[in-house]
Amino acid sequence: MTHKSNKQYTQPTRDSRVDRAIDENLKRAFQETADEPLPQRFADLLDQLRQGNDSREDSALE
Amino acid sequence: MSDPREDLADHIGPMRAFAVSLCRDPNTADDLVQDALIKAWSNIDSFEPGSNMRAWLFTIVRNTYYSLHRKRKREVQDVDGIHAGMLSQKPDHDGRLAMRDFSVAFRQLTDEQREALVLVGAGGFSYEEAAKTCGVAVGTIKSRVNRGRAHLVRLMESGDGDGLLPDDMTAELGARPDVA
Repeated sequence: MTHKSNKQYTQPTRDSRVDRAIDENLKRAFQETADEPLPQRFADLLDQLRQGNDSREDSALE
Repeated sequence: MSDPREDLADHIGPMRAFAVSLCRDPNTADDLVQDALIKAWSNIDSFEPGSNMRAWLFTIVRNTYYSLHRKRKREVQDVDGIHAGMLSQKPDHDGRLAMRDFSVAFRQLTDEQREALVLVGAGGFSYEEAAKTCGVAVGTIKSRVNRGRAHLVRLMESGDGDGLLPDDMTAELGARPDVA
């Protein structure tokens, strides 16, 4: 794959390394958000839910 | 047996990540996660103990997103235009704006492509799990992943080509119009 190709390199199948590069980017973006410290609102929400918000009506938490 | 509701907290981070990829906006995403958590909490009986809780929660997140999204469809239609504009701008400096360019391109994919790519590419879901989560056939997920990747590559190439791929790979693909 050392040919010095230019614009007209049209090949329908992608290199599997391209797919891997995409997945790496996806993972990085996903993990960055997943690892963020949780906003306080979620701890509060769980507390509220635990404290017998069990009366299920679409709890007007909004 | 322990209450599975006590495990919900462990999944909030990944739920937020999945929600962001659907909503393309962190604030909306957190509202979505909040709604999904409330649903999960009150419908915990529909969770089968021992099964994949993350997949169950992601299903709730996406169902919540789609019911919300359908209502708001008209409002968000312009989003693609805005992002397309962003992508066509030249990066201010050479090279490693990788993540930003990638994210901008990613936002332009369809809902279906984004969720398939995130579940399979980032969330570690098998094609089967992703299919179940999205309520479609395995083949449908495979083709969404495939089309999503192809679409991303096209977008990255039509931007400056920077970012998605390491330089040598991009060169091989002949996707560096900026060398002129």
